[in-house]
Amino acid sequence: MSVRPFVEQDIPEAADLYWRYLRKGEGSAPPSVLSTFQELFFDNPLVKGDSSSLVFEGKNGKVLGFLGVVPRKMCLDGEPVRVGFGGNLVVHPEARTSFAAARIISAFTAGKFDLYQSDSSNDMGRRLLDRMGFRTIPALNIHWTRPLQPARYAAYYAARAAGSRADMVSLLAKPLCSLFDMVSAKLPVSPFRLNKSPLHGAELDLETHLQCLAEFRRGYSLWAEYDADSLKWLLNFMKRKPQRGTLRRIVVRDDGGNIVGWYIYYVKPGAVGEVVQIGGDPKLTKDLLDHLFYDAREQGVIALHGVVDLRRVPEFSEKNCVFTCRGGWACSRSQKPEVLDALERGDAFLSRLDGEWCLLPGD
Amino acid sequence: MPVRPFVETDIPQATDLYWHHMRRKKTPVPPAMEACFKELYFTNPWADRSFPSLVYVDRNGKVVGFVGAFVRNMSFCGKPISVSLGGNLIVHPEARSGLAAARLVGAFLSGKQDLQLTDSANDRARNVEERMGCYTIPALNIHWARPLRLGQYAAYNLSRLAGRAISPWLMLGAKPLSSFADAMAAKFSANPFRPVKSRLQGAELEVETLLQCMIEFRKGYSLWPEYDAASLGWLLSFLERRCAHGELRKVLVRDEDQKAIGWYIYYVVRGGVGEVVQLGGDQKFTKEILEHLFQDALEQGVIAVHGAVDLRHMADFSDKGCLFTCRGGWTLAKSKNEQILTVLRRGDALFSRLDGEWSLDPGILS
Repeated sequence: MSVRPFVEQDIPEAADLYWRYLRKGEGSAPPSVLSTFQELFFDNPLVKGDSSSLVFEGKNGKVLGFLGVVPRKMCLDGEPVRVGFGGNLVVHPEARTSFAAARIISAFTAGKFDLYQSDSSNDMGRRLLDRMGFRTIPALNIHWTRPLQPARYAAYYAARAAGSRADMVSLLAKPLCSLFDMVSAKLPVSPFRLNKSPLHGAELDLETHLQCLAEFRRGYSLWAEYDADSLKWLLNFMKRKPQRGTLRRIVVRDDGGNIVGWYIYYVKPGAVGEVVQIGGDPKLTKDLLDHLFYDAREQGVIALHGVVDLRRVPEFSEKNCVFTCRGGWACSRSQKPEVLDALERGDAFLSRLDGEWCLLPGD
Repeated sequence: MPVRPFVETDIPQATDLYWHHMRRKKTPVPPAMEACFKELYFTNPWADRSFPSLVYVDRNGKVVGFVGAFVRNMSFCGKPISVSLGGNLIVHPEARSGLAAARLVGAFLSGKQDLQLTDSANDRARNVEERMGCYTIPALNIHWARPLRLGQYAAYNLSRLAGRAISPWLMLGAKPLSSFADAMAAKFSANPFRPVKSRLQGAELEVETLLQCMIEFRKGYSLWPEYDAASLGWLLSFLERRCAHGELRKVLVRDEDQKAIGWYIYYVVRGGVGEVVQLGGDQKFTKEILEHLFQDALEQGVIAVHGAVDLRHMADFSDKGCLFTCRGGWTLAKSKNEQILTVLRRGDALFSRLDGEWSLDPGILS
């Protein structure tokens, strides 16, 4: 039994593992998952044909474990940093006693990267990574929540907790929730009141997005590097994930037409919108948030979730966001102390766009 | 020069400012307030006449502004540093159109201490201080809240939004429903705020034990406060006499082998929110110490606990159902030593409410 590089011929077995034991699906992986594996781990501008993903092979040559690795380019004070994002770690139940997961991670961290990173680990994955020398960096693990329709948001969670009776709970709660949300959106003392932003939104195109990333990363030591090909592919890939909703990309301008920021999030009417990235002029963070919240409310979203940059925690809090560390753990390992130091002091301009969160193979 | 050192004869005017314009009380200043100001600013173990609190006086010599100053000893990478804490910045409404606040803050910041810190600034004071070169340090501004009785806590927050006049009536009216909701919720295993019975044992925390704990459990940090028995004893005694916050409870937490693994200090308010002053101990047991605190507070009749969290412990607090905001007073810092600021930004400082001016609010003493 050994760990070896993942090759294209392994896709059916690896996709089956993913499908059955991570997604809890029935039977073999559907063709869409196979093609996603092909695209995600072999045919995209981030990988460029140089796959770093790994499989754990059983005695009979059967694939019993898999770790998807997607390389990312980053910069620390202008110097290139090679980052390997590991995700979708899955081990066949029969191989779980043979340290397969630990051996896969050990092989991953013996690779060519300056920084080994994960941004969506569950509790079990985090414990394993901690034992393998990874660190849970607090500054990368601050998730925010902003209810837009608080009563419906509460009912949404109550319905999820109710399991099979979810539909009934939602139906019964709807009239009362709608009334409460209507009142709370208008009361001056309500923390859930939404302010119409003085800024102007428009569709964010690829070129503008690239300019924004280059312009507004100033003041940070570490950031992700993109070119038109890689960003285009990434956004296209994300658009094709219907389980998260419709991807909405907005560039925000002031009255003079100057770009002051942007945001990208998934719209799911009547559900929670997941924010992928917010960036812009730090002085206008609160105005950007107002714009986002108003936009999301108009799209029918009941609450927003995202990950916040430590530096911007005060502004998010002032806009009535609440924080937790629930939403997938970001764990880091590097032989370069300056890289970890930049992450720990919140000096990295990183978002969900820059990790494995946005690379979900999906259903 | 309208800014000058605060002297004992200014106490009546300063307490008047504090009582009527910071606490917004309509009643006469209680006699105990003057004694409290004297103790806080002139006779406490850290009182330093070379670094006094400051007042701003108008043309007639009347005190129209005040900023309280304290000096604390801390260690930075094992070397002693002096830290000045500023707080209770008040300016009379008639003097707010001038530069009184900026001049008071400017004079306070001109001190020669290695680090100037405030941990309870309101939004207005934060704006003034930022303009004077102080930084809001995100890692020191993460406040946590942990509901213990969710229904009553929701009613408490709703009633606060409704304003002071109808708040008590709302609380009273909502009590039967919220109590019923809490009783039901306590039975659901899916309830994230369901109390967990702790295996640890609590005991009264003595000053000497707290000193030992502070030394033992500060390992791994680069910056920490320094205490001796006299200063810590005075501080705890001062905290105990602040009845506005509730009854001070100090608990040492031991494991089954009677080994001290942590402690917590908080104010008990029955039917209200308990403010946690300090929680510390072995990092491996943070979650268990929290469970012990929640169980203890629940038994004392507290509906929720609030506190400020060390960035390193945020994940453990989150795992135990805590929610975070930056609401609870702003912490700002200024230092000529960039390394000190880096340590603060990185969350590498062992700094709690006990160690700042939060614990030195005159409030209302018993």
